[in-house]
Amino acid sequence: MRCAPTAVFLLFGLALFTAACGGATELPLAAKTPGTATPVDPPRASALPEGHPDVPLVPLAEPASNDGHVGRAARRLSVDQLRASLLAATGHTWVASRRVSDPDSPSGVTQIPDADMLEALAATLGRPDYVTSTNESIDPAVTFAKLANDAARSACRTSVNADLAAGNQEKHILRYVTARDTLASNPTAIHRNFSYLALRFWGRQIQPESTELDALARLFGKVSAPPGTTSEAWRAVCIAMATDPQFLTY
Amino acid sequence: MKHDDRTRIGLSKGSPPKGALSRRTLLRSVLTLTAAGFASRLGFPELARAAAQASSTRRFVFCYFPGGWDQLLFLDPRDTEANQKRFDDENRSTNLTETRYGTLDGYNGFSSRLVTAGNLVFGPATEKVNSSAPKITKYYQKIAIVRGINMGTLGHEVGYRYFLTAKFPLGSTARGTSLATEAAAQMQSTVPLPSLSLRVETYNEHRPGQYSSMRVDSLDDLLMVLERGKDMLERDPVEDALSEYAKTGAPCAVDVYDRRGLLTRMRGSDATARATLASKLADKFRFTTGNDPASAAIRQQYGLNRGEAGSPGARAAFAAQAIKQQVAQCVSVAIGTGTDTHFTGNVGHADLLYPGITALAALIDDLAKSPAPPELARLGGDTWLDHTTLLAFSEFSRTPMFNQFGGRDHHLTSSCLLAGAGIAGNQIAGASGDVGMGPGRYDFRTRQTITNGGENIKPEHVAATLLASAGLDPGGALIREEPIRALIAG
Repeated sequence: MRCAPTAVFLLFGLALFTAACGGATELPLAAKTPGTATPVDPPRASALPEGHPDVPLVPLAEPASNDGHVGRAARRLSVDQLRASLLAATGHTWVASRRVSDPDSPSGVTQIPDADMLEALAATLGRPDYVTSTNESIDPAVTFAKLANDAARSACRTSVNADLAAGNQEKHILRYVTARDTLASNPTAIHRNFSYLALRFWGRQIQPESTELDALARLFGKVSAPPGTTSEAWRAVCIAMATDPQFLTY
Repeated sequence: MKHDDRTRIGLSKGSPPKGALSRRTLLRSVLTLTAAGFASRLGFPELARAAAQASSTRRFVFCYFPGGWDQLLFLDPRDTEANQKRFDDENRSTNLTETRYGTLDGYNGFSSRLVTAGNLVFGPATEKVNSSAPKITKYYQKIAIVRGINMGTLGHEVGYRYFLTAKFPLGSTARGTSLATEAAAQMQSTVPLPSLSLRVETYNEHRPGQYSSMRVDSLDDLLMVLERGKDMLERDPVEDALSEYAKTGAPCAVDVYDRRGLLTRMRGSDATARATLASKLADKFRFTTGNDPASAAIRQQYGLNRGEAGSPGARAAFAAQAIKQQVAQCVSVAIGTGTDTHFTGNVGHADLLYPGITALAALIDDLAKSPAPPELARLGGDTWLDHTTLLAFSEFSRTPMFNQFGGRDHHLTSSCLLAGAGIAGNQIAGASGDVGMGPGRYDFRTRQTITNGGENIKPEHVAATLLASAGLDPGGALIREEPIRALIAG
């Protein structure tokens, strides 16, 4: 009988269909009764650095009223926020030579040797022009990824060079280390500096001995190994932190 | 009817055969339902949808004319000589439409005449009488026009974003995903930049990050994005170490904050940016300054002076290069100059509209003259135009009556142009009304413009047509409207 295999397949298919669509029919218990989520205070002692003035707490939104999530969604920095954040973290922003249109110039363009690039590229990075768009685009697009990388490279280069030439003045990157310190010669200072940079760039208090800093230590070790230098390694660490999603989102 | 035809599932032109439901059909249906049930049960709707979608090699170019164009001058003109001069300006009080085409006679190379090619009729800003620039009418057999589109808004951003995503915005905030990103995602594009955008907004609401458009504001900025930056670290091993850190460096705790996928999309974009740098794509976009013969030929095709990077022609050349060099599969470009002219008449508007139309014509001409690569030609179609679908659109149009300043304000009813692969050319779908150019009614079943019944054509219908012309799924873009089947080739 040719029908027999067909019937077997049919029954098998129907069984699978039933299993797939008709499994658990009961709703989870949590969905039956309204939730009474209690906002949880963050551990204040570890959230703020020592000596930091007290700040008021903002209770988290209930998950039920927030699409099942705790707190609001993370957002990408706008171009203005990126510029301000780079300035705050490294003391510098992206400055480079750029050609801009200039109706007064015979060629129609002028080369500016020290253009503020994040300002010059603001439209490409999503700032509205209020002619064709009024909303800031904060999509984490490829363009943003590339240009944020360029901005971090420029700012970190300038910042590390400034630190190396700064003497005892306030340093942004090499705060607890010198250019002579390596992972072999002074691991304590290196890890303390990582911890300080995590707070500076990401606003996170991470203890120097935390394994969360291992990836930065590996990066530092790779780049500082000959023929590399520690200043190059600190520049790489600065770039890594300034291009990390923890820096580029809030 | 062949056996295979009887078992085909989906749209069919023919009627079902006698005894339509064979055992095989039934079994396939049951197993398909079973698989779909399992897929959705296991939480793989994207997987299930992807499996159902055929991959396509189609290219798309979205050409945006910002500011709201005057369709009386381009895609939806009125013949003042026809029907006993019904649309002569003397009759404007009864048809609520005034053309004033006579103001163009002898102005800057324009004339008052309409331009006819096959079944298509264009307005007088489409071509200049003695110009040697490429003419859009040369390719009328590859071009279709949709008229009487109800944009539902008179706000620039709203109409613009409505056309970009085929979803009516919330206020002025875009909803949904840009069609370019949607098409790239459905095609599972594998070119270096699945979607590339020059001065056109892009949105990605539900597609993977690698299909988000790379958006730039100028050709210079594009080169900056594609080139290795001057502050890149000197030694490649250092850049490699940074790349490695970007992939694996962030601690797991950070992923707790990634419930909505932002960090995942950031990492995807970062990886794409690094891969783009490695592929040295910038060299393909130096045509505005290049001394090589290829760059010179591009400048000649688009009528560019050396160094001219911001004109409509340069932007059209950018789109063509992105397609022909296989850098991008979907390209969005603001090809027109702004036409938001409330205070100028036909002459001012035509001056602003014409460069974009000429650039569009040069782009179509370029794609039509450029041979497709062998791997595409093998699929049918010898030129790039045979593999590329173009859409030219604006956010809305201008009023059919002039205002007290002699200009035209914003008008709901608009038109658009479709061209190239998958489009049944030399056709017009829809119409604007004879009084006040309101959006007409269109019967999607009989494919006729009608006066009673039917429905307005909206951007959703155009988007569905565009996707369906490439065998893509409008439903995947959450578009519930029908395509305009009369405009789909084959």
